[in-house]
Amino acid sequence: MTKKFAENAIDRRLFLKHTAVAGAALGLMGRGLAQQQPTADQLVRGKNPKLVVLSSRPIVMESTLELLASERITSKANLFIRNNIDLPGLNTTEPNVQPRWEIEVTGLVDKPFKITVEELSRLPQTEVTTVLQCSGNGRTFFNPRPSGNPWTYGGIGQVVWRGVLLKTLLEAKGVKLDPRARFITMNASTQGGALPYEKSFPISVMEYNSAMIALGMNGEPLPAVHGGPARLVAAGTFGAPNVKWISKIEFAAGESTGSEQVPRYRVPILPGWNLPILPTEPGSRYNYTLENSRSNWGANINSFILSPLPGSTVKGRIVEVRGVAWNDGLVPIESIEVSVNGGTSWRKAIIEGNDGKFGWYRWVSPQLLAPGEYEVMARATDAVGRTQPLNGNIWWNERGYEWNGVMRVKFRVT
Amino acid sequence: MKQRYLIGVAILAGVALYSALGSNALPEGPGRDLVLQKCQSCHEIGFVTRERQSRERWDAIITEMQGYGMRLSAEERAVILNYLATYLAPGAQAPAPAPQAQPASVSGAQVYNNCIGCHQANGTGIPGAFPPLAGHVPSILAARGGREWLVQMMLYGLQGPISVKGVSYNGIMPAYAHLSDAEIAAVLNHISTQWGNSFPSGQGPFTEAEVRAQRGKNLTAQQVLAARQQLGLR
Ligand code: HEC
Ligand code: HEC
Repeated sequence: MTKKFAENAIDRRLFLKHTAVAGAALGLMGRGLAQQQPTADQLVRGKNPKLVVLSSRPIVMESTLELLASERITSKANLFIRNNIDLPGLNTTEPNVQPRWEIEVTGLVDKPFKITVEELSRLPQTEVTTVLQCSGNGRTFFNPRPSGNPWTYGGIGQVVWRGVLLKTLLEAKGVKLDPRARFITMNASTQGGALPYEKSFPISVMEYNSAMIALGMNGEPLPAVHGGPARLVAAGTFGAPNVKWISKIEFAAGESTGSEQVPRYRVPILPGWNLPILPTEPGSRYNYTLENSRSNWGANINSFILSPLPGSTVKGRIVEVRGVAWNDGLVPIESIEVSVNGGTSWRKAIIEGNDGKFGWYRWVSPQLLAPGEYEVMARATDAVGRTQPLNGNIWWNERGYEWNGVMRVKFRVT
Repeated sequence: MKQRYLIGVAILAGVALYSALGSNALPEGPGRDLVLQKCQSCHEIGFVTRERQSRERWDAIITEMQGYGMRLSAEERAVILNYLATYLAPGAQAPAPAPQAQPASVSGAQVYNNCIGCHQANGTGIPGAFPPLAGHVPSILAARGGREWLVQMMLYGLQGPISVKGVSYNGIMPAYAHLSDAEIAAVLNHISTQWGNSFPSGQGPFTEAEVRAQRGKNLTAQQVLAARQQLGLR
């Protein structure tokens, strides 16, 4: 079940030849011409050039607060990308039309089966609006900075998915789960020579997170770069296990032991202790095991200020501070409090509405502000009292996941 | 299966170069070449250059990469770890950008280093991913409007489905508007005369003026694609 990135499956000679060429050319370039990092639209057709490219291979790009503020549902042009493995030829927001694409459903079920995308599209479809977020979003705010892609705020978006619930699928196929099944392990396609990617979810996502095979996004066929023709989506969870280009779903007793499951995409915990993340000394090492850590599954509670934008100048005296808040969707968000005086006093914002329990809660806080410099903070709390730390670094973890520190935005009022 | 890996890796190795060029370079120091050789077959070198980590953490990162299948001898491992722990330690500065000394005359071969990552040193490209230039550029030159189109493609890029010698491509050719007129002319002359390619009779080398004439049109890569369809290439 574990997989190695099969360097040994590679023709060594060819491999060496190409890396040698690369090395040689690099040497030359040091003295050579000015180079430019390709922009988002050059890497992925249909992306907004304003997205910030964090890596061109694999493709990783983040949105900006400005773009997120500009639309209620994040359009495919503005949605972040976090590929672990690029599938050749799919760097486009156009659909990936492959009706014969097959997904294998296997493991602890009485009747394993395969189903094509075409057949899936004829089963009852469900729509769910979710906040899709990379668990590394906000990583750069941890200090010292953990390794990994340098996300600021843009590894997030609110998206409408359409697809077939796993429950619906099993029912339609008349397939029964073995009671020993505790996890769902998903594999991405290796089409075109792509390396494998494997992640597990607890089986509870079928009950609590509308786990589905999504075929559509924002009212269109799923864009190729976002996993088209089919990906897994579990509402209220972090992005990593929402496997794109899904080719296999396996029901299993234990979670995957591949490196995507451990040590990657995990935070430390103290088993049996009631703390979301075990605080570790910033800068220290942690030896992740399946027992002393947990996977980035449910999204932790968080809120963003989307207006005013950082560094902007706005007209006083009435300034509407606006933003969004979200959590894992298991209980409602109850309040968003806003402070304009460094946390001395907080005032409840008005919740204008939300796009379903897994979507964004839109909030606004009108403030009466004289001309001057301000720093505004926002903090969300949900019905079971989960809230955001004033100092997000309290959750510092070696790999920089699940940042949810209170956001601070500096702006000027004229 | 093996065949698929071969293609995959060839693409990886090719694109590796391309991405590496854009990212901030690694500081000079013993082991630098080994890092360049070992650390960009699976991801771009930016994954490495952007980090500032302690020796302990780098040690763990290398172990993790070995878990992904990276092959290293004990000696190589030690050299790489020393390099990373020294030059990419917390607080280490990125190297100053290489001085922009403009060579008196630009050599097309030198500019072509920009292209090797995708089209390969021998101009054969990678079937299905990057089209060949060897044995192909002359047919573009020979088409009516082909010369101007080549300049436009260099300045504004190209993206969308094309077919070259019966093989389909649907990738992105980046725009190179940031190169000087002289550099673009030089690289076009290079790809027009290398690997057995030659200018059709009656055509001479590209000039800077020819490049300048296509600037300021602000075409999109899609418009360049549409223009390509007018060339009547087969
Ligand atoms: C055999 C393939 C392979 C090779 C060779 C390789 N890596 Fe990686 N590396 C990976 C994979 C897979 C990831 C995780 C992918 C991702 O995050 O997108 C990764 C991620 C990383 C990260 C990010 C770690 C994090 O915390 O997110 C760093 C840093 C890194 N590699 C450094 C290196 C260095 C240094 C070398 C050379 C000594 C190297 N890699 C060679 C496969 C490889
Ligand atoms: C990142 C990879 C990449 C790099 C670097 C690159 N190219 Fe390309 N090039 C492509 C792709 C992909 C295409 C085909 C585009 C398509 O499918 O629409 C292409 C197309 C071309 C074509 C047109 C072929 C045709 O029949 O239309 C020429 C000529 C060309 N490139 C020359 C160059 C030169 C010269 C350089 C360097 C200055 C360069 N390329 C750098 C990827 C690249």
